[in-house]
Amino acid sequence: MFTCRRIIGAFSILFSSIAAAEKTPTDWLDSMNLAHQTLNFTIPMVHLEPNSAQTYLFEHGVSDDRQVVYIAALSGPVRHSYRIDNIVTYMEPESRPYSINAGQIIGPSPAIFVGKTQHIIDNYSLTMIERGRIAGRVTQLIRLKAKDKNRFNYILWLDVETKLLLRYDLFDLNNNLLEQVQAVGLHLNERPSDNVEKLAAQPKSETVMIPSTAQDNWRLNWLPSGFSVKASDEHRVVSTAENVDYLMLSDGLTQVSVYIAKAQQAELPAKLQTNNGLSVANFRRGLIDITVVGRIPYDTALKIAQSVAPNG
Amino acid sequence: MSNNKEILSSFTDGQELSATELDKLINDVESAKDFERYHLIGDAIREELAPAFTADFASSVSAAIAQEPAILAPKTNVDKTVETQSKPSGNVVSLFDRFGSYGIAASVAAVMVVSAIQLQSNQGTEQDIPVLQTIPTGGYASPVSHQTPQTSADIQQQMTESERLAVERKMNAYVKDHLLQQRLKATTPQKDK
Repeated sequence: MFTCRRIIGAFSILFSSIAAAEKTPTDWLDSMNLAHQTLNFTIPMVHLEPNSAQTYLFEHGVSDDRQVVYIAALSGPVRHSYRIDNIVTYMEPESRPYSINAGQIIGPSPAIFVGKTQHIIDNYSLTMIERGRIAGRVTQLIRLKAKDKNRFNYILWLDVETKLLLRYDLFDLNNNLLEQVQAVGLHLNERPSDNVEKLAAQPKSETVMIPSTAQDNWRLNWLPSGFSVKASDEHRVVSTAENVDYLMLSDGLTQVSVYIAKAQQAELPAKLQTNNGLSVANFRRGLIDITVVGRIPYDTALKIAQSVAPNG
Repeated sequence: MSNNKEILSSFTDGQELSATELDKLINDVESAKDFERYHLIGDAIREELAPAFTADFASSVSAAIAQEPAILAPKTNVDKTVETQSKPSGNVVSLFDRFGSYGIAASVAAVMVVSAIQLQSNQGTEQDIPVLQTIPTGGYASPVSHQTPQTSADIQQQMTESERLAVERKMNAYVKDHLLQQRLKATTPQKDK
């Protein structure tokens, strides 16, 4: 038994070193970007988190030079989102549809890694590990190990033939699985699907939301490496309508929200964590409450909160 | 038993076993578990754990699937908080006054909520396990574990019911707002060379 493991181990080392000679992880990511931007495909997916499972359809196609990404929940209430070039539209039962000028659909899908090669190389060390099998296809596993303890780790499964991303797993710092997005099939087509063609033929959306005005009342004395401030504004928080100053940080793969609000009498819980990896850190500085929300380690969220200081 | 452990350990390390030793091991359920554990530890040391995790995860997922109706059909107390802000109003386009509310608020997280802050006040009661549920775009939910600093435990206990609710609501709102902001501020990705 043990000898057997040894032999298999030796073979897989041999195998991966041959593969590595052919292609580096960066090559794989570049090929993945290209595949996700040019191929016409339909992929049914499962999105798993520690206490939930949801099925999706993930479609991509290029029709009349317009790139279309379409993501739709396959069970439960009808919700879908799609991106036509740089306009993302969300259609959900709770509200009227709305469109945003954006390069990506926010939500669990392989698309979140597309076009992020530089961010990934900057913040993660990449290793090709073994080969696997997803949706009946041979895949290459690539481990994204964060270079510091300020973000979570990924493993990617790339289809060897098409280079499409067929699965990714997100792990916390203790190697607990937080999230898994996995294809259960892959339909490659010569032509874009009817759905994609219909979306591409739509007139350009006129009702794109206007971006909010930036504010620079605050600065961050510390930011985890790779993170930068992507946006800021003053707005009212949904539901409570509380006025906040707001900063959005990102390292390219994950987004972190920083809220600065007038302190209320009741003290906020210092630490909240969801089992899918969302951390909420509250920190009170004088008369203000700083809240940091994001899918990052809690300690990192707290450090960010503690580093917020007024500008000027 | 400890004798079996020894045999098992040397077996795991690659030593040949006699037929009687093998028989002993095979008939020992406890040893089977140990065997799995030893190999898991070995895998962890060799950093090969991901596939093992997958196997583990599969069973927790089937458990999750079994519970799915509960997730997708929120209880009524959950609905209450949703209806307070689920009146998308007015123009989809011009929502960004300096302190304008977002008309699209409810769309980001279908269900949110509830009792994040109950840990301190209802320590003994089982039915009030602190849970914060979010169901963002795809409709997935995640319970929250919650921890207050020991120093503020007293403060937590002194919190009035309305304060506690306000804090809960605020935390839920922040999580929901975070999901919405990610969408609103999604920037065009940098083009890779």
